[in-house]
Amino acid sequence: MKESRREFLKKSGGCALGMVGLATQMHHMGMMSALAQKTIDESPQGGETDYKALVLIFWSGGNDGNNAVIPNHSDATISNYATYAALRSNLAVAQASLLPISVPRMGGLTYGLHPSFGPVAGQPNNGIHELWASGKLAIVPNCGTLVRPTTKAQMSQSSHPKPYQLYSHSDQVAQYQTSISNTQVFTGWGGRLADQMNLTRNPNGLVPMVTSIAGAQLFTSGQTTLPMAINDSNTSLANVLNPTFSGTGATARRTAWNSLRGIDLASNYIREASEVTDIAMAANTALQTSQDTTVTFPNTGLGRQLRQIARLIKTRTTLNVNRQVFYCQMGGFDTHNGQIVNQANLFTQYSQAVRAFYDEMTAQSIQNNVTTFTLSDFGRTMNPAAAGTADVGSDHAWGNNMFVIGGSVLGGDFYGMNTVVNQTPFPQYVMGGADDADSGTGARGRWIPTTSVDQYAATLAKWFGLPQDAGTLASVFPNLANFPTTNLGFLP
Amino acid sequence: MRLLQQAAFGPTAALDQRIRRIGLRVWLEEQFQAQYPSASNPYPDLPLKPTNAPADCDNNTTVPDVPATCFRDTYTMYPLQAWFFKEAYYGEAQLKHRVSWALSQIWVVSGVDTQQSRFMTEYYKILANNAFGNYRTLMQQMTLNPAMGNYLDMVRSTRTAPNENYPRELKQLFSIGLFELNQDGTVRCVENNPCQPGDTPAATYDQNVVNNFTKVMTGWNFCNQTASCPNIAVGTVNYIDPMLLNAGVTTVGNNRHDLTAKTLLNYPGSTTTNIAACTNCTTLPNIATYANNSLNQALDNVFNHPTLGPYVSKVLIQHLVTSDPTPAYVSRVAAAFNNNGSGVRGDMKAVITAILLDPEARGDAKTDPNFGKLREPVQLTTNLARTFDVTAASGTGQSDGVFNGPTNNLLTNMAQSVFYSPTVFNYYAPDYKIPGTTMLGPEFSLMTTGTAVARANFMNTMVVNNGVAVSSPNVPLGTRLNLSELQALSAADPTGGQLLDALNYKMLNGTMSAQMRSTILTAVTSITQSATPTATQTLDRAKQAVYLVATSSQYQIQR
Repeated sequence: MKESRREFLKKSGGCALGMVGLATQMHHMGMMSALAQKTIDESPQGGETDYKALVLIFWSGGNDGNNAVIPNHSDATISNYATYAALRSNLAVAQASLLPISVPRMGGLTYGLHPSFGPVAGQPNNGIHELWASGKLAIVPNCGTLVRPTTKAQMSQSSHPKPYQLYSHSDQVAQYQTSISNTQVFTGWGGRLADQMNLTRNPNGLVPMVTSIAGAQLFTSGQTTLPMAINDSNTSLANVLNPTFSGTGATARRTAWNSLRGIDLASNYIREASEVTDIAMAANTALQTSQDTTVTFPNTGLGRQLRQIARLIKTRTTLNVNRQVFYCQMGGFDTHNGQIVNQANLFTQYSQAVRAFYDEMTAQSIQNNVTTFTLSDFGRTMNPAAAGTADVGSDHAWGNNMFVIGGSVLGGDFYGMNTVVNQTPFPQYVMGGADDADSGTGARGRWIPTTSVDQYAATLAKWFGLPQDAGTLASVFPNLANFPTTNLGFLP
Repeated sequence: MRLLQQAAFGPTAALDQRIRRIGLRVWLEEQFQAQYPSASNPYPDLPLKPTNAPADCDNNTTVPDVPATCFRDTYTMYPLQAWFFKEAYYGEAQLKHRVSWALSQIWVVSGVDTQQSRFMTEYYKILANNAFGNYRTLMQQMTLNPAMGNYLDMVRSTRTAPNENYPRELKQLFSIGLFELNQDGTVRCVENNPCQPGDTPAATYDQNVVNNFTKVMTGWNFCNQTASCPNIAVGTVNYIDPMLLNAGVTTVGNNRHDLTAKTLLNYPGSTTTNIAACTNCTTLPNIATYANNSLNQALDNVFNHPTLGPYVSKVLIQHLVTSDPTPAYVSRVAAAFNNNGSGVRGDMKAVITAILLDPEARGDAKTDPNFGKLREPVQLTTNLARTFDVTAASGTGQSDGVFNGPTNNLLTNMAQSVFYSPTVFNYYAPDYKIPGTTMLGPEFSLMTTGTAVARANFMNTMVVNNGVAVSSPNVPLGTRLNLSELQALSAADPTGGQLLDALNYKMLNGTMSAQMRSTILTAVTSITQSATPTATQTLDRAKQAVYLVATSSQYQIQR
């Protein structure tokens, strides 16, 4: 690898980025990818001037989607509020508090969002509930990790391929972030998307295509792509990657510090440490002329992460990027206990931060080019865990409800495949029933997903501009071909 | 010097000389006996407090807190963090401290969910008490530790509301992992061994096993019965004594333990694979006996799994020596885990000895391009501190061992706030591979553009700006490096050669390349040093040299 990289350097002249550690940087910004090289050769202008961004909000810990989107009707032919309330017991959200949404896909029946998705006292905006009516919020119910479509009967067939280690945090997080559920891999679909698109879309980008505001994540790792990882908006963009050189000899120290990164790269670990720092320094130069936001963001972890992303989007022309993938994360969703209070707080944080971000994108007139979407470890058991109102929570399960928001989103509806029972995207709430992976008297209500992460991700990727030829699709989503549709339709 | 990075929190000149005199094996024997923690740095001795912070200890000024630092010292990990760093800087039992810290990154309990440092102290003692003991005892004590019980919900798991969290992580993270391993740590597959492309890794357990272990682990709770629990304190939750079965239950009808039959792991050589339903559980003592016997059988069942040895061995090698050990290295250590030479399985002394004395850990300068590991922030900071005789900010006496507040400090900037692991999966996962490579590099998941710059800025603070200054109340004494020896070398040799020689030995185990040396020398000699050097001149040159070595990618890697 090392030799070929140096060869490439020689050929390329190696002065465009003006950094000593250029070789390592080239590698991880995708320039060494033979596939990418091929793509740029075929691209007429080597790039485009439009802009699109995907913003992933990862609900870490496994959000209980059963309390995010709730049947709010009394139609006796499918699961209704009474079904929900009976099964959830003291974990049930009161019907009077639900924020109603009308769902065309469910025949116009009313469902309800958790009350924290609406206006909350003391918070800066009205939350995301309004975006349903304005058609900017879509929900993909019962989405989850799958190798191929799976029915209850197939759950007990050992020959039918199923995701490895269901209900395990780390494994299910990995599967959501890699979109590969049959085997462990070390690249995420965000990183692979960048592997495929970096050279054609960001040929002269000054920062990596993928940015994490929550540290290194599997989602952001590609074969050739290293992400940029930076702190949230508590640090300005100009300072977020800026090393400090103080005291006597600072200029000579900085020069030597830069030079040292090009030395002793025969050790793979030394080389990797240098590569990361090289990327940081190239980005730092570009971030010195950055812009700030105008909308008020909540001062929460997610609020600060999204505000930092909004600053980067506002600076996109300077950074010379046409496509960006962002990762941010909020923790605390592993609500084995204390769920009622804790989840309400988390939903408020999510709703307020995402609405502020949407409003900021509108203020920047870029809202149609930016889509936020959620992922999580897994859903949670319909059947509560632990007893007593204060302690009640839920355990690890499977299918979950995902939220997609943006100016281009074809919102105000449910999307996804049909469950086997009621031919709608929403699961049938029967413990041990056809939509429950569990059976027998101890069944907890772990919904078998009817829409795969692969389909959900591919729908986002198509909008993002991923070439739709079979080879490219398979390189990013290798199991996508196992599913009947590659586009769920919530984006144009 | 390399040993003192692997087996300690970095070298000191005195310890380096001592080991050269007495030899490695004697030093290991000494370390196995050394007093821990140091006599001068006992565990923080804090009382249990109510889980609802009282008005005079709630960090709210409506009623003044008494003392003013009450909240910090009770309801954050600050006291334990300060203790931890002081022990790393100055403690004699370096190896036990190093192994305990490694174990804390396998058996994770986090201050994110653990309210009081007193709760965490009791958990940490179990790690330290078993660091040179037997892994089976560690499994037993940790399973019944109340902080772990709270963190992974065993304390809430009952017959009627079972909770899978601890039973799952016990297997996945603390003992055998997800896939069956050969003794050399390579994964076994369903179809072939060794695996062929496209084969399916052989899972160690499935959901059914988790369900059954969950049943075994129902019914324990915080110990509240005076006869069994010497550490009960009125108005507090007992996070000190081990959890007790059916604590607070007074009638058989309210029993919380699942009395039905259970199926355990079934593997080649497994003995007890079933636990029968209880036949005499008509009294609470009988139920307690049945439950504790069942727990022992279940833990034995995990402990004797053939995958335990290679799993634990490989993770410990990764923490101490190298991120991507060869299968042969793992196999040699796992053999010591499986049998210490006297027929004992799980003997930690044998495992640690095998890790540190292995030819892959010892020997001449390491040229294998895949040898070594990224220094995690804890190692980076402590290694630097010990290498340069860390003191308080005044230049005399001991550092207070803190880098500022409990959750917003210099370590946090580098993504490793001590005792605040973000999740049960630790700060980084043992199977993390560096993007774009096939190399395992767990600590590299903490190495991002942001933390790479934070590492450099940490060194600017510690080296160039003279360390962490006193700042009331969180930094009572401050922290400073002692560069006087380097100043003398700078004064003695205006070319900077002796200065670089010393740093090459102290920090890079003699691996500094000629190119690296000349690059740093250029920066060092750019600072004027008079024929009769001033202290400022020699200090500036020493800082220049230390900063450049300490921030180099070469020093970020322990090798």
